[in-house]
Amino acid sequence: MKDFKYADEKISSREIMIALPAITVGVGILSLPREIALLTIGVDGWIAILIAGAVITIITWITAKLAASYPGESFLSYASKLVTKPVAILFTITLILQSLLLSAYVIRVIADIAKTYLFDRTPVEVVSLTFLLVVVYAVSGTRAGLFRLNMLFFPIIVLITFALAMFSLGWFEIENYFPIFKTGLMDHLKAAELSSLSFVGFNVLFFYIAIVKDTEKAPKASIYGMLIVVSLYFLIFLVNLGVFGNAVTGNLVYPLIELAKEIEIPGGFFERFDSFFFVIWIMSIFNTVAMSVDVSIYAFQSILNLKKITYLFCVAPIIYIIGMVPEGALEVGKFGTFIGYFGIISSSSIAIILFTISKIKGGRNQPNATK
Amino acid sequence: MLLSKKLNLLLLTMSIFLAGCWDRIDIEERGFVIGTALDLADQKSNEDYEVIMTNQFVIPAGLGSITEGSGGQEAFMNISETGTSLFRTNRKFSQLNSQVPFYQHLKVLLISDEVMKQPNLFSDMMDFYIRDHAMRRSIRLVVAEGEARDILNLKPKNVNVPSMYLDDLMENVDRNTSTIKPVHVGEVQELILNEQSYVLPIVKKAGDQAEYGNVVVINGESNQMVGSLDEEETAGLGFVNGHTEGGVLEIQVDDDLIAIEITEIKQNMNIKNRQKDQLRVGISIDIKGNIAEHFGGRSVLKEQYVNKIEKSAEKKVKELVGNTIEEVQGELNTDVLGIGKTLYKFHYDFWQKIKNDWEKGENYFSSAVIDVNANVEIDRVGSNDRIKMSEGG
Repeated sequence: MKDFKYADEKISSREIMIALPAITVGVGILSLPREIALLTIGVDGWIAILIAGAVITIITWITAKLAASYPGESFLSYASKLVTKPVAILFTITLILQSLLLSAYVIRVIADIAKTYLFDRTPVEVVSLTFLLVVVYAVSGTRAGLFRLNMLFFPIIVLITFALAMFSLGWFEIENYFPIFKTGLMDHLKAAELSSLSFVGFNVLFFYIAIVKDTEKAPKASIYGMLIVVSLYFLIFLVNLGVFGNAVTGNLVYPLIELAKEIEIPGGFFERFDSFFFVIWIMSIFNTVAMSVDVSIYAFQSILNLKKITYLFCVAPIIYIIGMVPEGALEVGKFGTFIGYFGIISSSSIAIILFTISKIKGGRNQPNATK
Repeated sequence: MLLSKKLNLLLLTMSIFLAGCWDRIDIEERGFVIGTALDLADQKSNEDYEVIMTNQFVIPAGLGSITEGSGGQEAFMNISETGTSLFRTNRKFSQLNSQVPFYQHLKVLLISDEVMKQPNLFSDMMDFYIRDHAMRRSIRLVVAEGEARDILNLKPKNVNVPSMYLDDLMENVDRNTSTIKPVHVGEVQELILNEQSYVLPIVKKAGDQAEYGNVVVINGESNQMVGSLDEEETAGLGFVNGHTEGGVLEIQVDDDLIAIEITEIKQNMNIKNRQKDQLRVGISIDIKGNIAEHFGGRSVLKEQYVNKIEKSAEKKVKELVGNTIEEVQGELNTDVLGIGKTLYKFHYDFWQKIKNDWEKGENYFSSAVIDVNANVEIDRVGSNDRIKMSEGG
């Protein structure tokens, strides 16, 4: 039934560019300004975001370059060539685990936030379950469809972020940025380390580049994609600091949500900006979870050829149960930090190891190399 | 196909049952709280205070419409509850009132001066208004002279709901130099976190009306009210830290009274040296204004005379600011001028050395020398030159 444009499950490099921000931007940025503001003085935290962003962008490029030098090949296939099959399977499982844990964490956080701000009495379990069911429904469709959904939602997410920044101007005080450049070096590094945790998600590149039509453009597209994330985070941080100042940002649990609550659009009709913000941010979080569940399916199918729907029915309850395990906000926070470190360290080291080996083996047995 | 159609129909019908919602509260069951007053009940022990929380609920039926009128029904209802933690006190309202208090539309928070005078009590109370997700950060704070809950009962003839009346009063900030811009809960959180001293506006009872104006001074260190500023001192403070947006400056030039309508105030603070015990601070104030009222018969179109007016206005501004500085430096020893803030923001390293001895210990604040420089510019003179011909000018 290949009678329409996206029926062949192939995507373009532009869709990779959008997929990266779609999966990366989610719950991390909601609390990131607090974590950075606590460690830094004044507005200095922007440096941390740029450092973390630069490092992650380089690793993203490495990942994309690696995957793109084996066009059309699955991760398992090219990783097996580089580091024997058992190690490649181990890598794949690590990446699958990372995606599943991330999905579990995100559905838990979104339910917690929804409970705090929207539903007083609806149990967290119910909110999570509802959210997960929608994700399962989306993922059970075609993969290309999911990428189209990213393309559809992403401009709206960017738009709401810019709207937030625009309407904040009335509350914005440049004085809140001072003092500048007073943070110590160690605090900068610590803040950069924490910021990097909010960039988890680029591991999708290991797998999805195989289905990109114009593979040679994929590395460049990935860099653009990551730069979009960095600029969004940068903008959100600057607006947050400008409106609340360092001390308040450092003490609000979700500074970005409070920002949406603080601003009021004059005229009364759109006074409650936070309701719009929630609706749209949930779209972005939906993208995050849908993409990570989907990539785990894709990775798993390369090891064991299971039907998509069978896999989904096995994995969805696992995600749900893992998500419900942490008790209370503190444990959820610890879980999040763990996933951040696990994700960043495992993806980066896999990318660097494989990339180095592929460079060493280089010209010898790389018949598929494009350049 | 037929079966699946039937199945679809069944599923569609079942969706009727999906309409249930845990958090549904019908709008009729919500009690819209539009203003809250906090009073001190009595001191139980040294640490615990009992607080009276008075919520003003809106009765929508009483608001009526322009054509129908309200039919004599009151548009608001005040209910008081006593307790130690505000959250529990707020829950107790449900024992009295069938409607659940709904704070998303809370506009004004009145706090009695008795509450403000207790150390740390006010900042502790703010926690509830910041932590609770239903609270908006733009709730306006105002200190009530005397019992705060009495002010929620004031109802001049042209208003329906006292809280809305208070909220509107706070809009008129550019008319007088003794009224400051409304302070929001969100801003206060920042001030408390930064341990900065600040001022809050006062509202007091004046017969059937409420009178908005002047400020109380809150020390950032002890989180309590240490005094208040009168009309002139508030005006002086407004010139220094930009709390005031406009107002009237009355001056005397050669026995003629002149009222200048202020249209623009700009201020700038710079630190001239970094000597701990003799800090020199320069404050320059630029004011633009119009001549709004002029007694006597001299022509306000003569440049020389206008210069003279500007000079006396500058003298007046300096005098007002000087009085304020004297009061906050000498009497209250509380830095509401924002010098500490400027030091923190622009002289961070120096501030780190002196911040613990700023308003206490060595009291570097009170020994700081503050130079005030004012510049007044007359923009327009109105539509008339003079009301009578005399003196020639």
